[in-house]
Amino acid sequence: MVIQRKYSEYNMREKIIGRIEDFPEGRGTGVKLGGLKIAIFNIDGKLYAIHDSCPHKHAPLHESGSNRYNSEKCGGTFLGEIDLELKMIKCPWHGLRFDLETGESPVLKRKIPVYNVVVREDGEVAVVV
Amino acid sequence: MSKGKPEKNRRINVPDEAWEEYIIDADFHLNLFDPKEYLEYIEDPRLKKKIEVGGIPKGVTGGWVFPYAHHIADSLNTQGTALVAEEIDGLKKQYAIDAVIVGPGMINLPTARYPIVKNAIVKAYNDYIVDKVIDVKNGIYGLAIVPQWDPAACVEEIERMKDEKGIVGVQGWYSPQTLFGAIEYEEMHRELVKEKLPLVLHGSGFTSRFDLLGNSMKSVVEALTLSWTYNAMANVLNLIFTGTFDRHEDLKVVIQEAGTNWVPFASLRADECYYALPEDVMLSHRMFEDGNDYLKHMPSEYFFKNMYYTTQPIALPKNPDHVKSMFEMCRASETFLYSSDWPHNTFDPPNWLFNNRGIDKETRARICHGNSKEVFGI
Ligand code: FES
Repeated sequence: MVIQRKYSEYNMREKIIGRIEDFPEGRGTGVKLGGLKIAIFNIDGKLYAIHDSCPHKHAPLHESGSNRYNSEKCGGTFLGEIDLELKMIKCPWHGLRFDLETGESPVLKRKIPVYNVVVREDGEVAVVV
Repeated sequence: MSKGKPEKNRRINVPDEAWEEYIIDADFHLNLFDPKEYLEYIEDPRLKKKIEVGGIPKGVTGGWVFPYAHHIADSLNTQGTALVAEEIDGLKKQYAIDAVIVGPGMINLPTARYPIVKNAIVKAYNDYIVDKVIDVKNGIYGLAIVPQWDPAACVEEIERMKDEKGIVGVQGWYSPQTLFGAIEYEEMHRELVKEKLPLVLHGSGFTSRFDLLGNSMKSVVEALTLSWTYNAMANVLNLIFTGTFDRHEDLKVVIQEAGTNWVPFASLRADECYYALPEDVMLSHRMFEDGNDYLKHMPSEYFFKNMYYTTQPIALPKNPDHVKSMFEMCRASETFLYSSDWPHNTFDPPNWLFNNRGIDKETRARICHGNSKEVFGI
């Protein structure tokens, strides 16, 4: 577990979304915070939070990195992959790419929201919204 | 009709309303690329051997390398694989879809060589879907391929398939080849009207390398933006101006995967050009034989009376008021059929129908199921 910030003070803008084990490594997990949809990605133990709706046709971005339907029958790679090195995800529907750190898409020339993630020493995870 | 509670494992951002709407997907593909899947349906041992060794004859794709545009090896089947009824059933439940009209993924067959082999593949495919895919109880319907390179064989195939339960239309492709208003298809059109089956045309052949326009393009995105739409348009205009719908008033044609926004442009322009140049339509075979100097209706009327258009890839204007106007101009409530194009890389789940104030409830219901029920008789 990577402690992303030692945190002991109460912060109104931090919202608990679960525990570190709720966010398995190498994939995305969707969470809802009130009306907000957030995709959490665990890359090498570090968590990233990005808006969970692609601006193109509203695909759930947390699906990036999960298998296609009947994927055991499909050889090769698939559209919604996660680039672990560049910290980029590809939308699972048509493949637009987003930078997990900045929310930038090289195609759209604009950003989608990203959020700071706080992993507390006791394993609780919060996002700053 | 309600589907009940949304499935827990659903994968897409469709609003809960989508689970209350009956949704028919009018362009859903099998990924039947390995002939081994249907070899058992090929009767002639000589052809069986050829197909076993050499596979399906390759068609013209325009030379585009799709993985260059996506950076993945299998950039066609980006959403998965489904080959039999159980797999389709499992899949559609994830996307709030109740019924599918299954078409073959073999979009390049028309431009391939070896018509005798292709005819055998068509028959085998049609038998395969009757056996392993169609499941009317679970909302899985199919289109029987017609071998459009052999008009007489098209009629035979319709005869053979017409009474099969769950076959709701015939599948052809609008490709850079013979257009469907050609007189050679006369018997096929007659047969389709008699059997109340629509002619469903899907895109094929991403621009021809052998025409100036197609060969001058430099990227697959140019080809995808333009080529299918212009091939679709060419077929619609050809059907209209050769008098096909004047002779076969009840012939219904569904255009798949050409998008929708070209319909107002093409229909208005067809009328305008017809006003200016009406005198030579009499020289097409049908019009001449029937002694018709002019069309019975204005060209635009056939766009809405005889044609249907599947929605994918839907390209909506940002402003909902413009969406409303666009849909009115397309007469979407009479002509649009929702489609997903699953599992291809231009896949459209039905979510766009549920979050746009430019699409009212009645129009949405017509697009989701009303028009499909009407044209496919389901
Ligand atoms: S919905 Fe994300 S790329 Fe289309």
